[in-house]
Amino acid sequence: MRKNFRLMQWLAGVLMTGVTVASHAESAGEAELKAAYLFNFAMFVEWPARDLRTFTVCQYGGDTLGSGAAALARQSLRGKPIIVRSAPERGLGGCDLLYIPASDRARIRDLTQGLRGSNVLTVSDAPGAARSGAVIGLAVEGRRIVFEINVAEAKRNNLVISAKLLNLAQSVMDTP
Amino acid sequence: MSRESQPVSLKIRTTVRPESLSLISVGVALLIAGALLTSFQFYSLRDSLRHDLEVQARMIGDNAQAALTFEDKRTATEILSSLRASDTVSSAVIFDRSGEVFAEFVRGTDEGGATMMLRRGLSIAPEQMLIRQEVKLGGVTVGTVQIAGSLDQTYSRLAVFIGATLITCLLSMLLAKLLISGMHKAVKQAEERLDYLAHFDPVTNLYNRHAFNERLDFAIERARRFGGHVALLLLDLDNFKTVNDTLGHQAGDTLLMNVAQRLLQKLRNSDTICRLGGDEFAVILENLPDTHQAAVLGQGVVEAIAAPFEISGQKTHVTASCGVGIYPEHSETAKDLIRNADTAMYHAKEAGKNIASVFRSEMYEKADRRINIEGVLRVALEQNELELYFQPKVDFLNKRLTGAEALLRWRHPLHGYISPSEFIPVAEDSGLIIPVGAWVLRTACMQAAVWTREGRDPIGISVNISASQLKDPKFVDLVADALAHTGLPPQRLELELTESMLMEDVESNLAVLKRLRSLGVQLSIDDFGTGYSSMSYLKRFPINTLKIDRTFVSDLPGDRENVAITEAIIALARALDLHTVAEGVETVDQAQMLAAAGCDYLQGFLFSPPLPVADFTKWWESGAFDSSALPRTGAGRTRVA
Repeated sequence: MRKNFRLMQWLAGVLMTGVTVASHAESAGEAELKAAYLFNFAMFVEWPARDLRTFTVCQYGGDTLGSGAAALARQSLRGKPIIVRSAPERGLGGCDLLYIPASDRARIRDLTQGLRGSNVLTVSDAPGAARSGAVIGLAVEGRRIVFEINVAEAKRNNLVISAKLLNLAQSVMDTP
Repeated sequence: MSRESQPVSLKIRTTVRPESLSLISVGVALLIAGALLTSFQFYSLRDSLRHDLEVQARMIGDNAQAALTFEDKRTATEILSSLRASDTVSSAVIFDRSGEVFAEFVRGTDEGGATMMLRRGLSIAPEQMLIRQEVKLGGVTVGTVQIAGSLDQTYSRLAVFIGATLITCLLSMLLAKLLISGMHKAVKQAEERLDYLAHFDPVTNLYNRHAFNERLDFAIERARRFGGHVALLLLDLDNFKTVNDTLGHQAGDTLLMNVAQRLLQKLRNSDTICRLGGDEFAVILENLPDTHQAAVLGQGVVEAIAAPFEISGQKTHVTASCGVGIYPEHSETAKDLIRNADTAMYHAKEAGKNIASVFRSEMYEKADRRINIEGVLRVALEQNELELYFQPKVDFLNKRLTGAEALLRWRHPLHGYISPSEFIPVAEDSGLIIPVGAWVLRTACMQAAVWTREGRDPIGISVNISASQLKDPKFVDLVADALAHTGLPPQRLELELTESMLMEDVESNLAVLKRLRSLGVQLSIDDFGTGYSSMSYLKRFPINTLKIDRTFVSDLPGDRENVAITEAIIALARALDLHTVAEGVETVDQAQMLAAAGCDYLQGFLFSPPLPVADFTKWWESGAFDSSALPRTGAGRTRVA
């Protein structure tokens, strides 16, 4: 009887995880792609000099990067090992890069406003994210990802975005 | 002559070759240099191209980094297209991380094959160069940039370089040719000059000694083969040194040139005229119709030179002595011919200069002897080969011996009797006359002293004195020494001086004579009547005796003029209170006539020839001139040898 109960619990957990995963994340391939892009973006952005020995990637609202987080955590950015953590509303200042999932679209404007001057690279895959104040907004098109860059926001965060990246962006916003 | 032309053509060949050889060497050197430079340039250009392409690849890679990372092919292609500006890039490809073509660029038309190969990244045509550069992001390779560069430009640049090099080479060759020609011309000129100097005398442009020897050999060889004569004229300018010293060397050279000119004018074209050096010339005569012609030409040459010259406004003249030697008459070889002509020339000088003299074999002996005599004479004095002979002077009327003239004789152990006429001039020329003369004086005085000691009549001794002795400042002391040494009373020594000798330098001679007289020595004038004397000087000279020359005595008493002269001399002597001695008395008639005319003493073969001491003493003792021994006068002439 106990064995059965446990088995049932386990199954439920799996189902729920799967549902959770399904509701919260996209497919694994997509997640990894996005994570790769996050990494790549970071390669073309310059943060003001900091003494920290790690690079912190925060995913807003839980494990929103899914399997991509693990991939990121395996790598180093410019010699600094990447730490991926979930970010609550408070304590976002320690992030170098903040990923805001599309589901939190409505919060983008406030979040980014609040984070101004804290040198955070905000990236979101919500449509119109860049217009809403994220530094980089990306979208999946077929097998590729296209993106928009809000240079003004970047400047407010003391971030320098490489011209090479700007060159590739679908659109570049510079309006303050 | 074919012999002459042969060396010339050989010369031409040898002068062309070194010149073109130099040019070829220059050409080869330039080609090698050009080739090396060209290959260096090629590699340099290629490296340069490679470097440029690598730089471009890196730049492209750098720019395409993001595009590769974000898989933006469009942007990557755009970036590649910027290579259009680089005219050395013919195509370029960006491969993604899996090696697939990400973006590409091809200049001009798409040469399908080329592009295909590009994709595969294979090496292509030799006109193309392939460059690969990896694109990394954060140490990770995100793609590869591959650029194919065209070497066309490199080749065209190289072609230009080669062209420029060739032109430079050609210009250099041209320059080299000019320089080589110039240099060669200079060398040739120097060679010609040396050749000239080797054979010609630069002052007169005549052949020099070297050429002379060659030509004489040729001439004799020709005569040997084809018959005919070769005559050699050797000319020596007689007083050239005087001219050179008084007018300077420049004038001397001009004089030589003028002499050369005269020779050229006087002689024929076939005659070879040479200057042997200094003031010596030589002429080789060939094609002579007969040997006499040589002497004629020689004389002609001498006369031509004797004519006055005008050198820098001044009139000067030189004379020449010419010796003529003839092949094959006088000699068989060139060496002998030269020697004989030289001997003949020497003879010409002896004979008074300004003449041409043809060689005779006797000359050779004489010349030979002459050169010997001086050397031997020195020895003779030491070896006591010299001897004094004595010839008596007699008082005819009183039939007694009054004196003896001492005469020098020389018997050489090998050469035999050498006559005084041969060795006295040699002695005078060489200065040996001084010691010889001193010896004569001492020996004569000694002999006189000996005879006196032997209890004989105290006769006087006379010694002949030469001009050199008179000029010797020590002469008077020598005489005094001889007298002192032998103890002979000075009055018994008589010195005989010739008329012409005294007149040469009257004033200084006068002084010497006075000094001699002050010693007590007697003085007489020998050969009186044959020289140029002035009566006023005669009066001034402190002499004691006049010796009448044998030429006046010889035709007595028949020759009326000689009689008159002799009588005049005797009368003159008397008037001036001088004694007279007649020389060369050979007959009784002469003796009687002279004695009757008042001549004090007689000397000659009638009484005795010059005899060595022993014979003289014997003659003296025999009393051969005792009146009883002589035939009576009027009984005809008698000659006593």
